[in-house]
Amino acid sequence: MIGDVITLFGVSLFISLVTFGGGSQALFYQFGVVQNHWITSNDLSSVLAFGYATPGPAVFGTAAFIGYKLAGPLGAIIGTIGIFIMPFLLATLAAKHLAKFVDEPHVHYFIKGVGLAAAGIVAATAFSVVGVHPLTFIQVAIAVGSLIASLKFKINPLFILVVGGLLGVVI
Amino acid sequence: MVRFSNKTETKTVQSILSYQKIARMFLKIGATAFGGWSTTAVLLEKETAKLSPQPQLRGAIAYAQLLPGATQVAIVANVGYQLRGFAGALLATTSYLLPAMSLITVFAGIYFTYVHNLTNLGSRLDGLVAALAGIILANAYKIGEKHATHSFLWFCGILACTVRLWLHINPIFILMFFGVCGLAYYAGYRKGRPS
Repeated sequence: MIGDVITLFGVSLFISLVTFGGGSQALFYQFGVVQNHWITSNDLSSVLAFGYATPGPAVFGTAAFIGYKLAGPLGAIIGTIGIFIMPFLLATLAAKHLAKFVDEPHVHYFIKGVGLAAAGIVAATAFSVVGVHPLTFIQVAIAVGSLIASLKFKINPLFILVVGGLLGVVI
Repeated sequence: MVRFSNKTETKTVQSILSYQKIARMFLKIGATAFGGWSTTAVLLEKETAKLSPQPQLRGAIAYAQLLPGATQVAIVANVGYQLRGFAGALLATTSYLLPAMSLITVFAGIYFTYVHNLTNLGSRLDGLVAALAGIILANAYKIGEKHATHSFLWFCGILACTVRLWLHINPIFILMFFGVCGLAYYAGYRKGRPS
């Protein structure tokens, strides 16, 4: 258990360092569901739905949720510290020392490269999430509908998840 | 439309705002900031409007978007630092995250006690998982759109997806490799090689 919590702390730290502009849920899927089997796809979907319904960044909710599963409230605190400590330290440093560094074009292009790789990994995760079992027509329709609803109509992810979940139960 | 201060540089304001007031202000923001980082920015602007001198919110937002991790946390930490140095940043960030962390912990407790072990739940959540996949794919496009300013960079994103999906290479290596590709592209771009 302690080993898992330490691993979660490291994973959260890593995720917070490599996600520029989003995509952390995909990495939590990779490390939390696929690699370490801490939670299932269903658990992740549930916590993301709840995360979108709560204030603050949804990403850290996933870290707290997995932490709770591993070690109760203390695990939730450790997961949360893992996910916010680096952005916190970097932002504090940016306020004091990093201002010139982050304006460097080299840094911008490194971030572009990492950001695009993150986008690619996130896309791959989307296929992995639904690709565990053979897909039904309804599942494909819900996934495509959610993609369009999010991209084209900018509908709140919580609403999309609730509607998708209800359709899955009703149909 | 939200209007922020014109100042773009971040400097330490070091106002006389007490720790208690900082904690109260960020607890309030943390409890009401539903949605993306822009909600947090709007609430922060409203809350700091009465302060003199005002923390430089626009600079905090600009740098937060360049930093990895949750943008909201970076904005809050930066503004907290401007208000009362490192201790202010720590207090602001902790207070901001406390309401959501409490809610998630309660949710996790209820979920893992009553919901997680329901044996017939798996197939009933298929719709939720499919919707999640759609949202993740949409997020992937949004992230790509933000960074891919040249066609070569779009190619990098597609290649990263392919490599991850079929070769199952560890995400850490993929991220570092394409980070270096971004640097190499910049070096080539400066020499005028790419069209």
